[in-house]
Amino acid sequence: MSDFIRSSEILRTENLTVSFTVKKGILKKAQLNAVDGVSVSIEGGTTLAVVGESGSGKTTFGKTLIGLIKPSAGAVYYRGQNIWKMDRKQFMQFRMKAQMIYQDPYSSLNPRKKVYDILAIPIRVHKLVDLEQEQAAVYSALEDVGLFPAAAFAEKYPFELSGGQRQRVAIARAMVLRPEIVVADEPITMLDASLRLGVLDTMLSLQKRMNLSLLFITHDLGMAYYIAGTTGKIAVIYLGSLVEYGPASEVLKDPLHPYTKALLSALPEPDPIKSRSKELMKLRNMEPTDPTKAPPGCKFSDRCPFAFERCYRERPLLSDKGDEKVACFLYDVPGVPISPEKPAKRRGVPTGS
Amino acid sequence: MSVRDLYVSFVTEFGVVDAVKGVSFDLHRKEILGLIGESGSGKTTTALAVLSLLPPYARVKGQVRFFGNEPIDVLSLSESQLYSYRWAKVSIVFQGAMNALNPVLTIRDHFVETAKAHGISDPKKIKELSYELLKSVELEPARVLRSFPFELSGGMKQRVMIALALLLRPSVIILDEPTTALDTLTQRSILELIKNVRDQFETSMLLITHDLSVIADSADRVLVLYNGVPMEMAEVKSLYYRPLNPYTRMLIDSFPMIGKILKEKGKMLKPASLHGCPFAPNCPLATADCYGATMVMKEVEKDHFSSCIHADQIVQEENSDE
Repeated sequence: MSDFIRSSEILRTENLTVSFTVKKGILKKAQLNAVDGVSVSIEGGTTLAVVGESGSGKTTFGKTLIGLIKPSAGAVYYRGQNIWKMDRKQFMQFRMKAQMIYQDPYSSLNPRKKVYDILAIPIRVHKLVDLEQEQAAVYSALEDVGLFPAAAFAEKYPFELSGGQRQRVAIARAMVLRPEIVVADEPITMLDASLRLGVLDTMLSLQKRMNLSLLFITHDLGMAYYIAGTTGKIAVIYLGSLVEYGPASEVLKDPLHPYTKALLSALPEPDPIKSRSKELMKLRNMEPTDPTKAPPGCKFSDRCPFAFERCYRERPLLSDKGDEKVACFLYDVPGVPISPEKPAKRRGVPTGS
Repeated sequence: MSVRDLYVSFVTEFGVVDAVKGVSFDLHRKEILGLIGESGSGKTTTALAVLSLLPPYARVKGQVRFFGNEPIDVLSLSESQLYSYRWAKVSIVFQGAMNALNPVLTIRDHFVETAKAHGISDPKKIKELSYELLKSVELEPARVLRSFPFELSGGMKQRVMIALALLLRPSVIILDEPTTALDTLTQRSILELIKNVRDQFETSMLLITHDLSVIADSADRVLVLYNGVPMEMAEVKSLYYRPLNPYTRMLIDSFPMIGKILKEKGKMLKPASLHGCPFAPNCPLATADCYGATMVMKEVEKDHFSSCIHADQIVQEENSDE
């Protein structure tokens, strides 16, 4: 199955799991699956928006997807090929084709390098073009993200730029290698309201022009839909596990998982009348659960207002429901029973890397 | 309380920076006044001026008056007078609740320390107060009081901060970006709490934010600041449905919303103008006059103030659209 390529599929994860060992007290150690058996696929030129709260493992997932973190189990397939079974040359090629834009443009750019070098270094590392063409490549990348005149911006240091301009440089740095996949990790949370839309739209128009696949990581369901639009997909991650996955419009119109429903009820709304008429869905605990203290059974069972006996005992699996997939017993999905002796361990997940 | 013609400038090694340029507002009893603006718009500086907490190198002009049993002229209070004004009359929940608590003290220590600093020393009284306040912010007092800040989640810390701000039953609480850096679900529940606290304790609130949805959810009236300049002030609904300043309109338009159509592809904003209207370089209505304009709030419609010199033109256009 692993070598099977669907028509336009460019990247796929299968049962992707990333475990970390966390210290609990002086001697105790616990194992935490930051990403826990996530299977998604991204088609060429489309968007997958990953939605999750802090500690849900969405950033770890993004990094694993482009080969910055080695998974403890499961695999990432780029055009049908497992990226951790590639030879060095192939892996370098993949790393060039899969780029990342980080959340914080104030710390993701080297303060001691000029914008020109920030963009030129990746070109040199990957030997993308000859030295003579380097300048043209850098300038055109800057112009693509709306930094005119490129020659002037190229000579600046990051501290001379505003937050929005910095994030544009970070986008240009990702784009200069002509990637096929870009992982954007909350790229606008650190920016001012008036700059946000400009940066988003820059990303979306680049995506269209270069037929990019975009993995957009966010904690805001509304933002996810804004980015994924009518053609993209949304994946909702809760404590490392995929709880709902499907076409963005479906997920938003008819959310299935109680967690997605709660997120939808909390959607930020600028219209005061709509905002005040909306009722926030009450969870049993409005605070995110500590990822190291996820309950056995369904991980959402400690907060879910609909949880029943089975939810505390078994972990629901992701199953089809119409055009979507959902992991919830409300839709009567057969799950994995948790044996009472070993409540935390399941499925024999290999540790570390 | 009322603020009139507040000007704040900071003397730095690069020269004088004007942070707040002529801000005036009234805060009514039990009212939540939203103060919205981007970073550098002077919202936090305004809040600090209200508490007379600005550093010595700040030059402050204007008037801040607090109406209690007798009116207080805040900016002329001495240090010892300020002692009985701050926290007792006006308290503040600082931005970044995650970092505002002392990491080596338990929550109980925070309550004891704050209470003692303001003259409550009876341990029984302090315990009683802290239990009551933590309950009203929907936390379990016994558990939370024992905890260190790192044992609490971001939302819980924010609740603790609100409880601490209520300790001396102030009539005004300033909330500086109370939901920033929290998850969406936690954000909404904190906003619900803020409204509950207002109703239960009958406090007035100054809600500082950059997020339009926070204002939409909780504020009664809104003051829009840009680069230290007051742009518009109105009741929250008329501000959203009938913005009378092009800057406010842009703020509303730039809220990423479901079903919104992208108008301008990746357009970048020019830096704010330092003279006249700060929004002029980016404003569709800008004329040469805008750069020389003195930015004062005018009541364009009833209870709806705008400092835009073209406000009347906007009203006309709005009316002809209807």
